Amino acid sequence: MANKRIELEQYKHYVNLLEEEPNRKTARRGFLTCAIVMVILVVGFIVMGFMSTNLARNPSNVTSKPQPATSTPTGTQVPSGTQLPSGTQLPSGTQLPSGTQLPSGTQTPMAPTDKMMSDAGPAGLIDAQPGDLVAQAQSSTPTPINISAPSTSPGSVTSPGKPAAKPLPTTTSGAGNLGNLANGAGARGLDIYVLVLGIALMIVIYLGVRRVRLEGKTK
Amino acid sequence: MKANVIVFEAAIFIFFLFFYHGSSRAMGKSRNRVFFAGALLYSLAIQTVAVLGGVMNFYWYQQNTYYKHYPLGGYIIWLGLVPLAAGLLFYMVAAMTQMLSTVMMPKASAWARSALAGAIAVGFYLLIEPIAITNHWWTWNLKSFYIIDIPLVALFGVFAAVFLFNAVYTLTVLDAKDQKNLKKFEDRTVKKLLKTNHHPANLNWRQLQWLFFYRLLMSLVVFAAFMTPVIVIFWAVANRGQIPPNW
Repeated sequence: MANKRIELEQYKHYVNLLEEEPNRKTARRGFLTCAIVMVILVVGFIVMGFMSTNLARNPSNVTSKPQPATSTPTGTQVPSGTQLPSGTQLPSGTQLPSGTQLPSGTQTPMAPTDKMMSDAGPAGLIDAQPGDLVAQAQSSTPTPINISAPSTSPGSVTSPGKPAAKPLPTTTSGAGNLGNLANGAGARGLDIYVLVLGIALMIVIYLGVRRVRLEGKTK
Repeated sequence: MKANVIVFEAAIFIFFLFFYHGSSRAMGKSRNRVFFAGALLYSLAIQTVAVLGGVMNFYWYQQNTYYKHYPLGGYIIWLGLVPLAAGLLFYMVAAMTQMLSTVMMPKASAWARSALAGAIAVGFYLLIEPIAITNHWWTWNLKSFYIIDIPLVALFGVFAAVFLFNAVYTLTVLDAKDQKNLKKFEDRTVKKLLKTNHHPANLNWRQLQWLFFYRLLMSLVVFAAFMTPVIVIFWAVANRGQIPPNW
């Protein structure tokens, strides 16, 4: 009985091995499929990198705040001549008729078909005065949005006797900032970066494919 | 067209389907299944802890008013605090690097192959990270040392995660071996639960799978032990402060 059990266990293991060791030709084809998928994925990321260049040129884009949700329902129509108090946040879809006065501090989101404010590259649209949009549109140089998020490093309790330690900024500078890379090399820095890295990865994948194909030829 | 989170997620899902089919043929169906389950759970555990610890988050699109109007909002499928796409991406990178390292260094030790896999994975994430953070697929909040807005902690983390995962997979599933330093511990724990005292090479497939998941769990402890000093060191030389996860 014990022998029978051992025999069955060994048989089970043997079946597993048969399933687990696909023949080399199948394995090679599977590897090639994976390699092709990953090369296309890398190419996809390169393309997405090119698509992201405009965003990346804004040095504060990475740490930009998401636009907060508002309680005002979307699609609200403001009556003509209405004066909005300062600090009012308007949800997207709000229609402002001509004659509406926007005080400073009013946050005006774009319509859903347009670009998002922080995504628009040239930042500084927040707190815009009437007429500023035209000036922003004419300007080709991106300017950063200043994020006023406080640094909350744990353990940074300041004692009354000592001078307060300078808090770390929540945005990076120099080599730490992606915007500097994106704006470098004639504003083609990020494109070059993703292209070089993508090609390097494709070469590594190709080296693997070459080995597999050589194995296939020798056997 | 923008490379927003919907584009990222849709691309990952489509690529995953083809990749899974290919890796099933390359590794073997059962092995690939266990690799996939392991990679998904492994990345899920690490990224969930990272989100809970305020290291990173995936919520930018959920919090953004603009994308609340977008047909599908942010990510579609979530596994707790982490989107499925992030786990699938880790699986694809880990599996590809595992295959590449095996093909390129067939006679090297499991550790050397795993180190090569980790290095290639870092290359993949060096390409992915700048695009991900630019488009806010995920956001790094940690106070740390950043280069092109990527925390170096993340790159060390990718290397360690892929290295450990591949080492465990190779030493358990591919070349099933007893680990000398772990043998006594495993005999007392997992092998008692499995009611066996066999050498891993003589375990049946079901037992081998449990041993693999058990060793993955142990490797998470090693991962945490490795990452803690790395986080502390880069915390000390940080060039960017912490951003509260919900701003």
